[in-house]
Amino acid sequence: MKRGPYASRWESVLAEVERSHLRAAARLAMTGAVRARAWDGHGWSAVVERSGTRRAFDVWLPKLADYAGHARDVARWLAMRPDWLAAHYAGEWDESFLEFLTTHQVEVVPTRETLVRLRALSTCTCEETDPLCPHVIAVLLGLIWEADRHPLAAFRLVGIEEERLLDLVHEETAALAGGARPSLRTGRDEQRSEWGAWPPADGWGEVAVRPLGRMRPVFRSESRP
Amino acid sequence: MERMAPERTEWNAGEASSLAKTLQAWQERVFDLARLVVDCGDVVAVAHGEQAPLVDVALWLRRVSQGGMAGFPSGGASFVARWVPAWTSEALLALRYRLVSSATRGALAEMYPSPAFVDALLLQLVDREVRRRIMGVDLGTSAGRRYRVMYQGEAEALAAWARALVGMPRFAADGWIVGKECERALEGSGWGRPDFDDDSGRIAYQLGFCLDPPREDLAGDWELRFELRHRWTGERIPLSAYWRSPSREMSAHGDVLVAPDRWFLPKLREAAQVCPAIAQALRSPAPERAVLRADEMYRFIAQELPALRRASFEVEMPPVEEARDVRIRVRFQRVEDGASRREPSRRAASVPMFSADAVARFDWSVVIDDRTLTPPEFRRMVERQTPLVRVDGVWRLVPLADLLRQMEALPEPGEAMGPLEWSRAHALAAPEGPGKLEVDEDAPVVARWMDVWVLGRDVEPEPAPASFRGALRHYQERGYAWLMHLRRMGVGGCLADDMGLGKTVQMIAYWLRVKELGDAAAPHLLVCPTSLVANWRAEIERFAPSLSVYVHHGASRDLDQAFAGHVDLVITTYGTLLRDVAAFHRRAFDCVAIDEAQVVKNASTKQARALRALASRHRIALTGTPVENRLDELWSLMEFLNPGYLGSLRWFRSTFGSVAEGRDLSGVRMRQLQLLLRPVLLRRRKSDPTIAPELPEKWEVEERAFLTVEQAALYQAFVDQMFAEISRGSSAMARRGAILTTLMRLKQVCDHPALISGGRPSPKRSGKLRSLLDRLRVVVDAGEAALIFTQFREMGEMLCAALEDEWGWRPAFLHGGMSAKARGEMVEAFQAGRTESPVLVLSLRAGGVGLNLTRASHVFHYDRWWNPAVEDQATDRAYRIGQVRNVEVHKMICVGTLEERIDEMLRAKRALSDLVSRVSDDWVTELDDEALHQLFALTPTSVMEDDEL
Repeated sequence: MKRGPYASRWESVLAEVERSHLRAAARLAMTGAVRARAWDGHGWSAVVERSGTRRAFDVWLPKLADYAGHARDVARWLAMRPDWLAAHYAGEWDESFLEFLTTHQVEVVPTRETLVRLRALSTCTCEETDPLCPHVIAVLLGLIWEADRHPLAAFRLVGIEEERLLDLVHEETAALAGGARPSLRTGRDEQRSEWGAWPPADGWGEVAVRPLGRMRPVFRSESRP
Repeated sequence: MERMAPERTEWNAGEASSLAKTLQAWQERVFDLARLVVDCGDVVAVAHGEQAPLVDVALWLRRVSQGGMAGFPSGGASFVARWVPAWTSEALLALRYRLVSSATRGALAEMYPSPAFVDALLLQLVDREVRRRIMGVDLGTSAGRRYRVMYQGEAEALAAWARALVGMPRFAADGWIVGKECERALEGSGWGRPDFDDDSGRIAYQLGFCLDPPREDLAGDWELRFELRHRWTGERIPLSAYWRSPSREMSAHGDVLVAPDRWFLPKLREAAQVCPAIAQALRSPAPERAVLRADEMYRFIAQELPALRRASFEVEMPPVEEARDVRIRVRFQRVEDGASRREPSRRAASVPMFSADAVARFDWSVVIDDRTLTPPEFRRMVERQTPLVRVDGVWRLVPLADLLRQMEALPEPGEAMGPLEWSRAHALAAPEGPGKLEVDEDAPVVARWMDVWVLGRDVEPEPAPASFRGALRHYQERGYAWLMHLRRMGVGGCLADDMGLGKTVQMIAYWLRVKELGDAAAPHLLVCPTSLVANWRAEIERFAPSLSVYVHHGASRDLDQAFAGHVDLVITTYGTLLRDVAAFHRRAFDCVAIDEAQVVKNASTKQARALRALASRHRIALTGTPVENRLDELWSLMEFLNPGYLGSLRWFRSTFGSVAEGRDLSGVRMRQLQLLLRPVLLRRRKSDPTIAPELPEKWEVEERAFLTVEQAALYQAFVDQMFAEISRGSSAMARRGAILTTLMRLKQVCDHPALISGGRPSPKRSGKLRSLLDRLRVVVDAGEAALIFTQFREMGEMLCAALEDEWGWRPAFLHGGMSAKARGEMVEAFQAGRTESPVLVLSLRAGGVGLNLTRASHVFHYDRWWNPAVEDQATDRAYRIGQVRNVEVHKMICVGTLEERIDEMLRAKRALSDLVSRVSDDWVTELDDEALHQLFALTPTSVMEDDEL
């Protein structure tokens, strides 16, 4: 299993999964066996193909909690800490952010109940009697690994879409900045005045270009600038 | 032209009119860009299917450029040849971004809903512009292509394609060949860039910083504004504009940036890693600026700013330069009653330590590149920790912390101080900081001691004392003038010239000059080792007979006598000083000089304490080795000369420990120590380029010693015995025999009584041996080598034993009882430095001729041969070809004995010297009784008390 800061938080939880299932799930997730993953508002559906056979199983994984109603609260935290947002865009987890989520028991960070919930609600069309079969875990691992690289993607596990969250963060930031003063002018009559400088008109100077292709135009000399 | 006219939509008349104007203005810019693309030659030839809409062509160009297949089936087909933008220039891409973002996100979005629609228009305009200008196609200049064999039909296909690029655009060719050529041509074009359709503005903008100074010139916080800066036009968007924007889309300067925080926040995070103030700002909502406190500015300018620039961040700032010229301008104002501030307890109450002239009131200001900061202004900078000062519109960066550390060594403004305090402050402050110390020389007196002290300039010449019998060498004149200068300043000094450079005559000249000036408030005091008293007395008699000297020494000593009568100088020994310490401490002396001053190297000894407690106007130390083993010795010496000058011993050790341990010998501490010592320690080496030419290559020094009581008694007994024998009227032969025997016995007595009476060959029994050891110590400490000649073999053995007792190594003894081979090996070992001992003892007869002993630069004649030629031959063992140093010849003479008298005769009468050289000792036997008596008689003052040793 890949071990970023976020994935590390899952280790103790995943340690309770059957080891052979976990190994098989990691293999499936890494080989791209998880396909057609989709969010249905309550959880994820996906198709997991079994390697070496033509069989595929339909998997459904529940969200870990429902934070959709608290999306603005989450956005406010992030608006207060642009460094957390910066780390997200940089593809890294800010340690203090992860610590904050853990301390405040935000359920993007797993607890023992997380596994209980997954065991109780996950479904798979395979013959495995353990609800946490390799196919379910493979879908889960895919989500964890994505969140490891894009921290705010972890909020999908609790029902908050990343883009929606980012929009809310900006709204909260604008409110905190005391602004909400529209700077984007979409009104048709304002467009022209907003166009600013147009360098070619002012003389753009030398521009370095790289010639491509075998056929190059030969211009009439009087046509060259 | 495709999509040149707006499609039919529901606009009211006003809106339609406005939209038409907007469209027209936008299209003019698209034309501009198309022309610019063609002007720059940033075009590439492609071909596409006849029926393909240009929007699809634009999307197809992206796919092929990203490595996709052109997708033309093999076989003949009809194509449209087209010149399209290659987008290899980021500047042109930034312009495209402006047109795309303004069209797709603004009022024209209904006509141009995606970038591909804008690209379609550009494809059309670029092709048209090229065709308008083109006269032909160059087929052979494919950049970077290797030669390859053409496919069948390829040449024809390319020819048809080339014709279509100039004339009618349609041409027929094999689809596979055309597809392959399109794929090759589009490799590396901008169409394939991952950020080609990025809408966040990263292709056109970058994160930049703008440093704003505070309103005040000297203090206040600086601000580092965050802004997005157009890479090509320089247009700026403050980050605050984005944070206040109600949505994640922000328009500025015709660009629409969608969620630019995707790239600028990671960049800001990157900057935060090198700039803590940015990191601090990034932990607060809507970061738009970082606040840099004044005390953070130095680090920011010196470290963080270069780091930001190394990381490719643009930081715009007002001109800030490192202050090129930082000076601490010191001013002194003469204080009329400066002497009164001195502690009277340290010195005799009647004689002030310092001259009033030498006291001045201290003040300073800091000058930064010609701007003078008054102390209050500087204090304000310090309080606010502001390292920046504006001078002529340019902010100057002042290394405030270093400057402050430097100034801590300076006294408070307004404080009165003398030369020593200034010297100390200057020595500690000058080498350790960015500020150059500069003295505003208003007061002439102050200027004088600044010259000498700080700048190390020579003191003014001092007229030689009129009654001085002799001539001072040039460097001796300087040394003497330096002592006089110190006297006027009221500062103690250490004359630390090499042995043989004439410390004695410089000191004598000092005493004489003081006497002639009538400046002595009391007798001077000279404290020296017992073994040197005779020398001093002899030298004073020789050079300054007008000085009245009282030697406080021996059983009949009486200090009151010196003070009752007119005595210029009291000479005493360290032992006598200790014994009569109470009497000495009751008196105040004019100048206390100590010879062989290394005896006070341990500050806690009774001797050192007794010396420090003496009341005097001036103090001088004479030594050839101011530091023998430990740096503490220097402190101890200075504590005698100028108490407190080198601080407490603990401070001195902690400050200069690195120097004492041999580390930091070229660093700040060493420089500080040098500056501290420069005014109060004058050390000249024989090898100094300014001194060496003045010195003869070989010179002789007479080293005088007292007899011990035992020696004197033996000496007197032999003399008495001889006269008794002579007076008995014995034969001429017997008379001659008695004289010659006595002569030899007396020489042996002068050398060491053990030669006569046996017993331990202790230095305590022989004043001459003690004197020799004192002289040799200087030689050994200086790392030089010496030869000691004696005419008595037993004395040679005693000398070896005495040296072994003193230093732990036994010198070799070259004498006549050795084989020639053994002598040769001994000489070779000594010359090569393979012997542990730097001293070689030689029998005058055996070692006097034929040997090459140029390793030695000192020659001691322990006893006298009376024949200068014999002594010279012996001396020439060292002073001969191969000798690269000057040779100093020491002739050991016992005071008040026949040794001294014969030496006087030799010096006074050259003719006699010639006679002596012819007949050796025999001439003595020819003297009459009266002459014999004068020659042999022992002078009473030639004896030292045993415990003085």
